[in-house]
Amino acid sequence: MDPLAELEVDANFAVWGVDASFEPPGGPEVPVRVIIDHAAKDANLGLTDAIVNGVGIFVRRSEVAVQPVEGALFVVDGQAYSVRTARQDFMQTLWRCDVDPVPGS
Amino acid sequence: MSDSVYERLHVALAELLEEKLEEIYGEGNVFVERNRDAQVQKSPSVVILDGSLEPDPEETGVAAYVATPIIEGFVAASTSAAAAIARNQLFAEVVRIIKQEREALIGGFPEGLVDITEGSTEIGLSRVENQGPVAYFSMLVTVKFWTEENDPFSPGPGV
Repeated sequence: MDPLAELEVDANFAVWGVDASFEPPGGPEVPVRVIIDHAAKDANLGLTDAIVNGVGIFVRRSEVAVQPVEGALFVVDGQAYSVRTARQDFMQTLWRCDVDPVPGS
Repeated sequence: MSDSVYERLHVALAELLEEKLEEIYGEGNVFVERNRDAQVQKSPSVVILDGSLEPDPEETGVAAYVATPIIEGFVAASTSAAAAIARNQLFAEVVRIIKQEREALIGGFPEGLVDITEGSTEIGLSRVENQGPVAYFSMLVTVKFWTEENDPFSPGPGV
């Protein structure tokens, strides 16, 4: 990766990131730093439309080399999030994960 | 200042849906609103939009109108499958209310003043990136009503 781009990504994770753990199905658990996206977004439905809330998690490929699969877990501040889907960003530096909070975690 | 017949009909429709849906989902567990400005953020939500209003020129001696309010329903869930099921349930409840409780709506007006029927429905489901799924329906309701020929505030004799 372009060293300047890597510096920019690392700076973002240093400022906006939080310490977490990542565990693929079957393990092992590894420490990572993630950025959590709690932003509400438009559903673009009908004339009235709806705003939907959810959670996305960004993690660097330098920390999680293999694409997270469905059911992999992130744990942030004691809250577990189960991966629904994951895909690379356009620079191939991050995994953008759609996740669901695990109730009772 | 009194409300027009057209306005009174929309108020009656919204109040009927709110009352009956609260009986099903529980008070505070379903949200019904007319002509909401902002996007809905609670689930399930039902929004009644005024839609369109057309005069019926074939009637003589009275003013006949065909109004088509739009009823939109929104349901969020943790999965698309669950959202679709909950959306279909909400839609069916709204249809049932309009058909079975029709007399409660029409009964608030002089006999023969109003005729209300279910129109076409569009359904959809949205899964925004990183967000949970939301399912919705948009149903047209056809309401024919009559007013005095030159007075939209006074109910007409109907048919």
